[in-house]
Amino acid sequence: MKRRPFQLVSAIITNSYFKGLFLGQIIYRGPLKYFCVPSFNCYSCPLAIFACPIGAMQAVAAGFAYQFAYYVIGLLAAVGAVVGRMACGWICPFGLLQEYLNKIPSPKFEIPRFLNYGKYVFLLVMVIIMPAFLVDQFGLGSPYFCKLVCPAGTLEAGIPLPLLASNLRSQLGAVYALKLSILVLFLAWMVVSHRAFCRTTCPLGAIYSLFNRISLYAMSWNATTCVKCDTCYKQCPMGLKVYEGPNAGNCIRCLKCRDNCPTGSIAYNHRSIHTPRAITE
Amino acid sequence: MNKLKNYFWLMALAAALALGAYGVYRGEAIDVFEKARTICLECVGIG
Repeated sequence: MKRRPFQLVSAIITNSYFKGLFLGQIIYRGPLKYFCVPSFNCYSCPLAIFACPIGAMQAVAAGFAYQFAYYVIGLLAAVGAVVGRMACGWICPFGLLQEYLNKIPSPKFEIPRFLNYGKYVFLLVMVIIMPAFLVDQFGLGSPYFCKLVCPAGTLEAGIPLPLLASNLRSQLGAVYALKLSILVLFLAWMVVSHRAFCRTTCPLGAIYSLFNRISLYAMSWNATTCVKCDTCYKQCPMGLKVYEGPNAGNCIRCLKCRDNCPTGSIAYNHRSIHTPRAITE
Repeated sequence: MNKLKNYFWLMALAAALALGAYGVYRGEAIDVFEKARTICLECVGIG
């Protein structure tokens, strides 16, 4: 199956509220918004028809009633348990945008490995802890990741909504300028580094990455046929060498390594039909 | 142990479904809907 058409179709399905543009409705308000899409897509995008899981997690934690979003975590963990981080590589619209931006001719830079841990810090601090515990006098928190960082929110909601609604334009201020600056920085970084946001910042990727080593569908690698030619590394948008660990947390299962391996040493399959573990990891 | 490890995904999936169901049972989906159906001012950069 070709990945690019799959990504495009997913992005369109996720953002398919074209009817609203003709009806003059700024965002979709129907029942599909009970459900989170298992990818990173702002629910305040005028075209979005599902809820954003990261926004939803923060919204639940920031409210009066609960401090942890079991519903959203359960949904994401279910996806992760079956396919690991594959959603990042196959259905995430923001991942697709990064891949297109990285095609712009420019010098390309490696991302230092220690920055890979940044996404876990964002998940823990800004998505889980701060919305639940940094609350006002009424006990209400804020979705701090959405508020202070999320470049997808700025791109998909922060830019189009003020253009569509004049009452929002009049309220733009310093926080908007901060978010816009962060978006510009990320867009520039995406041009010069492969999947910069996914690798360093994405809280959703951080959740999925925890499941890569145990998921039903997993990468396998044959140590006896691998010649360590680094073709996998040169193809990998996440900068991984398969022979260092076929199911590393950052692997988005785009399968470019498998498709380009000159010795056919890489496979993606169901755990029960795996070759023996001595060969797989 | 290696054979058991091949089924960790199943345990994770069962736990995930149980968590999700518990979340829905206690009304989190309504919170998600209420947030998602209104304009997220924080996402825009206003809130």
